[in-house]
Amino acid sequence: MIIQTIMFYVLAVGTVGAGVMVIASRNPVHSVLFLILAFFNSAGLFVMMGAEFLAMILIIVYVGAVAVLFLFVVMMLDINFAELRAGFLQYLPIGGVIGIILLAELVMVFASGAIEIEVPTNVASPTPPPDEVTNTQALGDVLYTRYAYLFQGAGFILLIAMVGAIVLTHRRRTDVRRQRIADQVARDPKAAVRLTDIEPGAEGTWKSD
Amino acid sequence: MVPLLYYQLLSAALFGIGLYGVLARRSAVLIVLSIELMLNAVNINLIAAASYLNGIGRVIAIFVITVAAAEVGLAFAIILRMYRNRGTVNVDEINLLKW
Amino acid sequence: MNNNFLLLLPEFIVTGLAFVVLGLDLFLPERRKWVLPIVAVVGLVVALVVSLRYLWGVSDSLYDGVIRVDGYALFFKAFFIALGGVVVLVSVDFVRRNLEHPGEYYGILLFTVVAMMLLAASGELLTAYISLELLSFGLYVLVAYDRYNAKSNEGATKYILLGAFSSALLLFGISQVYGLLGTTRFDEISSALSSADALSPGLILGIALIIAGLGFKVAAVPFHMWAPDAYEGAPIPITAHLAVGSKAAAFALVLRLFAEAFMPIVEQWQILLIGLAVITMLLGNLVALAQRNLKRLLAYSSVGQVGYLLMGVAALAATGSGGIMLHLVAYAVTNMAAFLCLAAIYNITGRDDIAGMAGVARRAPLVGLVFAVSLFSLAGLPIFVGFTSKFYLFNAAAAQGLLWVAGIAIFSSLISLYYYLQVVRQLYIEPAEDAAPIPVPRLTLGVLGALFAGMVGLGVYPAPLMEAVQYASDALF
Repeated sequence: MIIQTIMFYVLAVGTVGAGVMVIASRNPVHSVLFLILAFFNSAGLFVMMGAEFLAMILIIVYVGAVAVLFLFVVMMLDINFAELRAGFLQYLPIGGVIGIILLAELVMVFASGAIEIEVPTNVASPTPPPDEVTNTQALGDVLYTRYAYLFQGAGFILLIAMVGAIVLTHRRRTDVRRQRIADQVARDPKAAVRLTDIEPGAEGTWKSD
Repeated sequence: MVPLLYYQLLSAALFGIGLYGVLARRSAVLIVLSIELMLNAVNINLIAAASYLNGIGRVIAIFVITVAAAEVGLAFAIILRMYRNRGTVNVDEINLLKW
Repeated sequence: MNNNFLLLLPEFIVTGLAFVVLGLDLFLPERRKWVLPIVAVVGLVVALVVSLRYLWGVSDSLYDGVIRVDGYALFFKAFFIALGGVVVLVSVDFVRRNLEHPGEYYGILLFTVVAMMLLAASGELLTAYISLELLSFGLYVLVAYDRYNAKSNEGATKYILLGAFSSALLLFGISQVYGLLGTTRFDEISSALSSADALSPGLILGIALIIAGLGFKVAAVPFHMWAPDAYEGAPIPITAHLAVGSKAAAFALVLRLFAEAFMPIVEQWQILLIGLAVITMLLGNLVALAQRNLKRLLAYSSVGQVGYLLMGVAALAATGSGGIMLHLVAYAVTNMAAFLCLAAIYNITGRDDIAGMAGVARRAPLVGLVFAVSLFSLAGLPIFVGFTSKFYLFNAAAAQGLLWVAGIAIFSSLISLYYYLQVVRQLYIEPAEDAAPIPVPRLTLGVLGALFAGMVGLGVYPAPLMEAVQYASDALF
């Protein structure tokens, strides 16, 4: 019990601290690395809340794919660090005020004790109690029945994102030399070889292509 | 078990941090990064509630992770496009269009 | 659980059509690509006929209440399919002249139509979120589609950053509502809300965040910053789609959400919506006065229209959704006509600023006429459909006791009349820089004629439309 509480505090402090560093660090690469740390900590929290499958998904999807994508883009874009540094404090007043107001409101809302969760009796629980089935199975039971159409919808979203990303960034480059195999195969000796009689002593009659 | 309130406070704090990042950072890439932080806060909130209620929260969290990953990919495609045409990713400097 | 998947036939047809278009694009040589829009339009007509034939009078739900099939969903389904068809027709000439990769363009456009249909049918918060994202993703790509145009890149960047931000707000709201009520279904939310003795602040926060997130999607005023940039940057048919389709789809969701889920706590959100409505209509119309670009002008005018629609939502409890749905249809027909005229002019002259409209009425009389009529209808002048719908909407607000809000709405309509007349003055009175007539393709003329007939016909004889709207809104209450 006490270990659980200690673990919660460790992970929670880790998540929040890493989150602060994500937006406060001056080097974008550091921001991405802190984001990865934040996600690892929240994956730990997910495990504590009994959502092991989601914890693994979070690490695989975010750390494995999204964070790497972030790193690629940050390194590719050649961002001017000095300029970024100048901008961060410029927005401190407005951003800080809004952020602090929202945070204070959220804390007040939660701490006002008005969040006595009582499961409404009229809710038809679509999942069996978690003790009887494994985490992954419980997810699958809902995902492939009640939310089957949405599952396909999420597939459409991924398809659009993929098609869109390709359409927007794909370009046919004209400034590179490529091997054109079809042209090479289509060449025949008649076009490729030219036989010329050169008179001995004459100059300048033969010129290369 | 750790009370639900603690998880919700954590989620609120993370959401606030992400919100501040969206408002304060100038680089489009870092804004996307902050939005990811906000979505992570949403996931913590959902999963914490799900462990007290029923499994729907976890399903929502799966969809949120999926959509967020796709969103990052598409956002970077568009940002790259703009970087090639304009040579900047700072939201302050993209000012062909205003009022 | 009901598993009659035939009820989803229209969605399946349009989705299949999107894949057919994407697939055909791979096999067609460049000079045969004109087939794609024809396939899309024919498929949409089939989907329209099927949905009206099989779903008329059906009231059912699928997947445990996740997707609803009722008169309300059917009305919007038919509306969105027809709208998708019009957008495809508007695009034909524009895409051929200005854009690359037509196959992906039409494919993604069809996916956004599916998303809009699903949005009107969603009976649950997660469904609403997924279909909203599907719609937004398609629109992000389409706004950026003019990829060598810096304005298009810029509009799309702002759109996707603010869109993702608003999704995060919406999601936090959804997670609050789910966490406190334990359900995401609209009817269960409603019964949970009416049985709760006191509203918790956390719930109010969740609902406020949901309103803010949806406010971004419909471009209500404090959340409208992306709209003018995305509208100006996007290709013209997509601007029309953004202004009409995505807005109508978001309102289809808002209406069902507020009528079915949040109705028991109407006092809490009504005042919030009234505030949003008032600043939206005033600011949208006032800023529109200062615009030089016609796409931006129409963007701000559509922000103003959102204000009228939000006023209708605030009056939802007493007067129902009829006025809003009527106004959505009227606004769709009118705006489509205006954007089609703009596209026809832009295709030849390459101008989309207001000064570029000078003398167009002499160079292309029919386009000029339809353009002027559509602007009058947007302003709400009598005998056009915009008047009828505004009349019902303002009347509904007055019946709810929001007389002062209706007064502000009328005042801002008068402001809007001023800048619409500026454009009409350019069209008819200013001399043209170039007297050569603007050639207009026959297809464009046909669509323009149909939209013109719609604007005048529905303005003079709105009874059939009113009956359809009545049938649809009966399903909601």
